[in-house]
This record gives sequence, structure tokens and C-alpha cells, in this order.
Amino acid sequence: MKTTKCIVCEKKFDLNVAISKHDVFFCSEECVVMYEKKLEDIKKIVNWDNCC
Amino acid sequence: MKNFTLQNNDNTSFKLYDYQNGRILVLIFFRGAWCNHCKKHLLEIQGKMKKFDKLNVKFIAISSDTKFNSSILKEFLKLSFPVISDADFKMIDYFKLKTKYKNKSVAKPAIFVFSPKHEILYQYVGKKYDDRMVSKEIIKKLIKVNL
Repeated sequence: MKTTKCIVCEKKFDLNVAISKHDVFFCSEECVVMYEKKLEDIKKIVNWDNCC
Repeated sequence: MKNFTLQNNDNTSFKLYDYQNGRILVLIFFRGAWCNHCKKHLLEIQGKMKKFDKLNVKFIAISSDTKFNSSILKEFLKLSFPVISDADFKMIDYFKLKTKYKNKSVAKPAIFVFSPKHEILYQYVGKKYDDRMVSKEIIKKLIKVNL
């Protein structure tokens, strides 16, 4: 059985049941939702001049 | 340059030399997805990708971020090149780029340019957090080293 790791929860699982999206693998829809929420949160930051 | 085995964020592996595949390779070390200067820099380079493609140059961006943050950054900035997690600092240490920022170890911002035969042609290490080599300067250097 070929395994992979979920990008969000880092759980190892069977690659055959992986959800492939955003060039990475997810073990569940919940993890996909968490990932996409993080992506949305970053998009909301409009001022990039605050750094360091 | 060592022929590192790198892992994509989907956990598939690839060899650095295979990725380079006879082209000029540019490694961009950056501090992390949290660093706005880094995001601006990567976006600026992505913006000139058509020019770099014509010059037959390949890029890899590397930081000590987790795979999750590396993946998010790549998606968010819509980068066409790999954004690799070097969380165990194998490459960052090899190129002597480890530094501290607010008690956390990160990579210094840096650019390394390699010939198709994996020899180093040029390197630039930022003197401080906002010191970056922009596309125009990278292209000038590439032409100068007879690309």
C-alpha cells in the first residue's frame, strides 16, 4: 500500500483514498476546508508593508 | 553543488540535478511565508517568469517553513516553481545561511545561481532582512556570466 501524508494534519494514509487538490494531498474534506480557510485568511491581508 | 533529494509538498521526491535538467538553476532562499519582503520578492520574480523561461532558467524557492506553509504560499502567490520546505535545515546549513529572527532559526534571504554542470556561477546573500536581488539584477548577472 502506497502511503502519503496529509498536508494539514500530517496523518499518514493510503494514497488511493487521498483527496488531491492544490498540488498536495488531503486525508479528508475537513482538512481541505482548513487549508482553503488559511488561503482565504492570507488573501484578506492587503497591507504587505508591515513586516519584520 | 550537492545533488540533494528534495521533497515536494505532496511528499513526492525529486533529485536536484534531474529538476535542473541541463539548465541554469536559481535557488531562492527566503525567511518564510510570514515575511512580507519575501512574498514581494517571490512575486516580483514570478512576474518576470516569461523572461526567465526564454533564458532557460529554472527556479526553486526554499525556506525552513513547514510543508503546509510552503504549499499555502505557493498557492497564494500562484508561483510556477517549487516552494520547498527545508524544516530540518539540510540545504540552509549546507549553504551556510542559517540565522536567527526573534529567537527562531530561519534562512537568510539569498540567491544562488548554478550552471548546467552544477557549478556555482553567482551568489548573493542579503545583508539584512529586506536586502534582495530583484529580477533585473539576476538577469544582468546571468548575461554577465555568459548565459
